Amino acid sequence: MSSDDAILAVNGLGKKFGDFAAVHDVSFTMRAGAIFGFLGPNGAGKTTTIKMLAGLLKPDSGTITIGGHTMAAAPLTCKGMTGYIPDRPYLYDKLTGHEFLQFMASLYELPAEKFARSQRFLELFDLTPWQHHLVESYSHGMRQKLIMTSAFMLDAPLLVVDEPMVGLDPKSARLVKELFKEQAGRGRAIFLSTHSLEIAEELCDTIAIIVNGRLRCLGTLEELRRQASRSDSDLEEIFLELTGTYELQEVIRALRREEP
Amino acid sequence: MKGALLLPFRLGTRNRFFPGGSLPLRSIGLLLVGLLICLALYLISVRTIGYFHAQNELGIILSLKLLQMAWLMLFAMLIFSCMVSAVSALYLSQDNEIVFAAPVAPTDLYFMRYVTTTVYTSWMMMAFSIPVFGAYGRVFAAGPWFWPLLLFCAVAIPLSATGIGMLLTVALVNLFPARRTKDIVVYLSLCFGIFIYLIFRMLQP
Repeated sequence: MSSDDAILAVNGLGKKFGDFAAVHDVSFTMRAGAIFGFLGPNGAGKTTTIKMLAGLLKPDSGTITIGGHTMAAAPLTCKGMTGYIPDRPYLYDKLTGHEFLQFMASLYELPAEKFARSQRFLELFDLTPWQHHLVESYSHGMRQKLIMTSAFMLDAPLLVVDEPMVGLDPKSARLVKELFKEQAGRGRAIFLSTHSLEIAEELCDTIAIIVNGRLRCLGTLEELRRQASRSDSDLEEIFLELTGTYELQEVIRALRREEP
Repeated sequence: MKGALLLPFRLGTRNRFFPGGSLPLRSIGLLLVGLLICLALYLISVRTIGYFHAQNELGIILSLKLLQMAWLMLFAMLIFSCMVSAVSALYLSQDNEIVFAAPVAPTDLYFMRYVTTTVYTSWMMMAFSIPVFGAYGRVFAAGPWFWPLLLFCAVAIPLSATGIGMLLTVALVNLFPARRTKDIVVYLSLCFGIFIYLIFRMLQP
């Protein structure tokens, strides 16, 4: 795919903290309607990459292009085209759920008819009876569902999601997966960072694995199998092989043998 | 956009003091306590300044010097208080992730932080200083312009102090990391407090 018809094109992205290169020369593209899985071990550079995509961190090198606009030249246009769901979102405790959604809608200058869409997501997430309660009375899962409602309500061409299932019950997790599929079916691109290999395997049509700040591999699950030289393997085995932690499986087997 | 950014502050304050649009006993109690403190401050100030004023010429000079000192101290305290608050508001605030990811111009963000920091750091100091300065107006039998000018100053002083405080904060954060800057400003404020205490203790009549 050329970077011209891509919703998101990342080219040679790099970020250093002092002498430490958190992200180095990361490049990929995403087309409309794709779900892109971004995997990697802890400290690999996933969150740093996501923060750059969301416009929260300035890259030291490389470019981010969203819908044909570069983040460096037109940050507000790029941000306006991106819905962002952080892994630990901060919600204003003294606002009600409805007021929080109003706030998010006004930040993105969402027209009233689009804001009305939030009711559908609130209903799906069983938050309708809670929408006029203060956020301080919400559980962690309810907060996560509220921030997801705010992101889905924006109907942005690109959705950047960091660890979507943290704190969600199985029903809500299932629902979120279906919503991701629905959004992708409507031509929205979803960039998904997750530790859950099961989610990546089920949802993503392209998967990238980042290790020590560099993209270790990028492709469909089939292509990843080929790269790992493991046909018929599941994503967990491929992940362990490609991240250089396959020897961990030997340790697990040894531990299981020792079990009484 | 500026109005939208102030929405959490505006609605949050409303929900805190007038939950569900009602006026709960807690809010009425807080208001009454505040008014009582203001009244007490006013009466004590009228008595003290009146005492100075009743003395010969030196008393008037002394009370005017006290007025100048009070304004200067208030201004300096507001700057330090704002600096501590501004580091958190500008660089460490938990809602930064949400508002920075939204299509909001940096000038609007600075404006929102400026307004909220001004209110958070100075509302109490200004609310309780107005009765003191009002007492001066009464004792010195100030003209009609004194009262609107006093209210104007009560707004202008915190706005100026916050402006200076935020400017210094931004300059410091360019030299040090935000968390270290916060520690530096806290220590500086502490030193300033000790300095003021020592000055008062060493004052010779």
